[in-house]
Amino acid sequence: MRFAVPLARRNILADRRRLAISTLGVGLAVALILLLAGLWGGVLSGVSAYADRVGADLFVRQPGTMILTEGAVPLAAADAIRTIPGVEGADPVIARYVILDLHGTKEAVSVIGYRPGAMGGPWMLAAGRAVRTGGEIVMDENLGASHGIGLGDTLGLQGERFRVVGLSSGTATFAAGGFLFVSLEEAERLFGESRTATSLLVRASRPASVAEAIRRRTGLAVDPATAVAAGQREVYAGSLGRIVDLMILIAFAAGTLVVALTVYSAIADRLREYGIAKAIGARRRRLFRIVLGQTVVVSAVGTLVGFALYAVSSRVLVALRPQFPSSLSLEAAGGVVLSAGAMALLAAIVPTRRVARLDPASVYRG
Amino acid sequence: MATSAIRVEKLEKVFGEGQTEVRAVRGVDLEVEPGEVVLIMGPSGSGKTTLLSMLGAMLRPTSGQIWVDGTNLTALPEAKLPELRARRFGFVFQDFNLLSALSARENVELALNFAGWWGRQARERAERLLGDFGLGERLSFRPDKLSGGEKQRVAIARALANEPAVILADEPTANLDSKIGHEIVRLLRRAATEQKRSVVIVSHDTRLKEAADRVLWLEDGEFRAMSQMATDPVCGMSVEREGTFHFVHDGQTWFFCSAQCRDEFAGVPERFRQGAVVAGAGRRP
Amino acid sequence: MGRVPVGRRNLFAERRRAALGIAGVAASFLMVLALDGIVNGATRELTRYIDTSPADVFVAQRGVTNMHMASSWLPLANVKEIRALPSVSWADPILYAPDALTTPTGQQLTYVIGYQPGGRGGPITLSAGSDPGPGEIVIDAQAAQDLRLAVEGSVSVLGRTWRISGLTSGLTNIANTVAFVRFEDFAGSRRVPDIASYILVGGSVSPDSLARRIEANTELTALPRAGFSEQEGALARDMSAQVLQIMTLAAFLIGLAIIGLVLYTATLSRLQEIGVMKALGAMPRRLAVVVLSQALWTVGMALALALVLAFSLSWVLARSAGNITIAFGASAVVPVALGGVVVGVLGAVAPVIRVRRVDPVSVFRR
Repeated sequence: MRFAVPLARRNILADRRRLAISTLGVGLAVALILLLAGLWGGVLSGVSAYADRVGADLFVRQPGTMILTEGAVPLAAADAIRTIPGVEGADPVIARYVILDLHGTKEAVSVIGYRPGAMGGPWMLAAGRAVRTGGEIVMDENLGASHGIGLGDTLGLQGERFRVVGLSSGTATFAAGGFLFVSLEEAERLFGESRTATSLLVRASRPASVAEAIRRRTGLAVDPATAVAAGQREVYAGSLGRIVDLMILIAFAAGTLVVALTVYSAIADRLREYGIAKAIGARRRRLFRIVLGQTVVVSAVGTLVGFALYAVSSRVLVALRPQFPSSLSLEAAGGVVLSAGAMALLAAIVPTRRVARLDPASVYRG
Repeated sequence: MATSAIRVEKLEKVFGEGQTEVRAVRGVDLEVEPGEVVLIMGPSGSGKTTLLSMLGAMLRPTSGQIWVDGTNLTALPEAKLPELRARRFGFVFQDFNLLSALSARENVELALNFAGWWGRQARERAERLLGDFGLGERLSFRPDKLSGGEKQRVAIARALANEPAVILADEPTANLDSKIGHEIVRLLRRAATEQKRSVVIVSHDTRLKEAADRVLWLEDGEFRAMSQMATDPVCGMSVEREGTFHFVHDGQTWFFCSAQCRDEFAGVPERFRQGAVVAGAGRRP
Repeated sequence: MGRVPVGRRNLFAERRRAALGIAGVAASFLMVLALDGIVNGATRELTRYIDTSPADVFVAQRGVTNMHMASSWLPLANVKEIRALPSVSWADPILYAPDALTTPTGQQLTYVIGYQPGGRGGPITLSAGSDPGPGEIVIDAQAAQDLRLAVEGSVSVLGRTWRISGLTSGLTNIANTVAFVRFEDFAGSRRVPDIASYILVGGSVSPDSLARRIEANTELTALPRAGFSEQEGALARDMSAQVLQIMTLAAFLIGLAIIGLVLYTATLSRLQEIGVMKALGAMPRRLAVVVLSQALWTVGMALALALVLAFSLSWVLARSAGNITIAFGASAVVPVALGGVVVGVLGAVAPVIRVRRVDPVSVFRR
């Protein structure tokens, strides 16, 4: 291995304050990208939380319905489905959007009616217990907290009064609002349903073949929970997603400029030294490597700073606004790391050209 | 005789305290008359820059007094010092310290702004001064387009622009070749002789002795008698006769800054004798 | 009083660095303005159907005050009751459900409106084709483009497939789009005979007194169009735009931080020269002017650049991604500009505050 004096690293470390500023600047830009991606990830996972977490393998719905709170399937279909081999459970749920008026603030919520003890209810409780009988309700913990409603309090819903017996977590979602869970019978009464449900949740040992059998037997639409979740994400987040992509793109551009600027200033301040390096015989490629080395170091350290800032700010955000949990997928995080690399490359262009055009004879002028 | 332009009494500067205490300047007394050029020499770390900074009202002495043009610097509040620097002093620096974004004319004009000249008056004065220094064609050039000698001429024009009583120059020739260095010294000398300004130069450069009315040797924060000094015939530095490095050749004693210079001299003394005589200081009593 | 404009000279002496600095600040401004404009544009479009309706008053099931995610069901007989009231000029029922337009390749959340041919509540103007006949649907041109549909194509919604008879424009926003079918078709597909969702009412008195009169004589909720739109906007904004607003806020804070850093760096590069000016006798006020003018020039030019870019961006978006609109207003630009100036000035001055303590003697040393 050939050893070369690490001029880039020496230059960077020689001015620690500038390094701190550069990396902070990059870190801020990276943190913003992470925050946007993380918030968006949180939105997406919230939108599909019900389908993802409720525990069903298959959703049986009226053909053509996309939204979980729309459509009607006969309750009798559940009995028919249970007789199909491979079906381990088939439970009806009634789901409706309701606009709650809580002390004058309007809150959109999703009310889920399910059979106590069966599928369809809350999958994680922060406090209390699940619904056992009529007159009881489980409420999303954040919705409760933001309106000062806790265990044992009463909640008015469609003119009826319910006692809060449990607080669920992971059920505050963008677009669908917080979740409320009541018994199926209560939901039937509240929404005037009889002998129909919004969907049937099915657990099966071999979902694919069972789905086909249900389709043949009932003529209803049967989708794997993962497909329902993806559909929810697309329906609710499709056009918003493009906006978020645009926002991330703009944040990326800003980050690139910040890296370019800080590295350029670092180089401009030491231009004479690059002239010296050139005068004593440094080749163009070596100079490029020096510049690139600086941008890479700044970007790399900045990325670490960005992740740290993200970790802090997303926690602060979720403490202030629990309905906006951040969820950063491994792919998104990897994408940000790659973007930071791209930033370093792009940012090296301008300073590199400056150094390339440098006249080595400039060293001899006073 | 008129009052001194600069009068310094028992000037002391101590940096740090306790174990790390450094007495950079120790009880220095100095008077400089209008029109006089004083050259202060001395080895690195002897306190030259500290002394110059105190003379220029940039650094507060630990004790002692400095009068400039009859004003006691040490008694002035901090807020009065910038104006004093802007109106009474001209500064010439080793690295020129021109503002890189400004043209030659603007660099001079800026110093005039600080001293209370504005607008066209300032601009015309700056142009006239630079013209006097042969820079009439370079007015709109930025420092990076000027040669070292041109930069230092702009710096001297800047130093003279506010018609200062005192010019303080720190190594004004260090970054210049001897021909241009000579010209710079001539300009400073002329400012003293023709305009009755006091010039204090701090330098290692023995060539400046020719232009100086007085040469002072500062070592360990104190002035020493110049008579005790000799010139190293190899490197040309001023060295103390009391120093450890000397060599007797042809019945004459030579003094050196270091063992290296002495050994080099001892190898072929004839190579250096001529130069030492021309430099002149070696045998001065 | 002419004096040497040191701040401006400093900025423009190194054009490339000035350009990068201005670009960095402009990128931050642009990011914030664009994000804010996108959120504004998105939320402004949310109530287009209601805002362009000919109705003076919207009548809904008791307690329902908007459309977004709401379900309102009232007996069709109420229409006759309302028509009989004095100062009511006309009253027409519509059916409404949120659902998703579905094609084999995509989905889009939509309001489906069922209206009576010849009655109010249908599309105001068509950009192509004709009003829906039996089994036909009118969708919005933007949704059609997103889903790659055209007149005479087919699309599924409400559990059945429809032939597209015409296109409206301007009814697609980030949350959803609007589709129109015939009232009987809607009722048939949802098996809800003799039911309406809302009744649109026009009258000869002020909307407020008309609404009061309707509420006094029926068991229904009646809101003037403006109030109904406001409720709708607030709710839809809450659900769809809040996440964007959080993102915008994050971008705002981070953008400001970047602006501060850029200007901090700019001053830092001139620190040595500021020391020289101090040595030459510049008063602290003069130094502040130099630094501030540099900062204000940077921020001002960056803001101008950002505005130009933002308007270009909105122009480009309007032509390429029709459902993303950027709406700028003084309400966004003013706080962004003020924030930029304040942070920029703080960032620029911060290094000089250190200089106040650094002795001018540093100019002698290297």
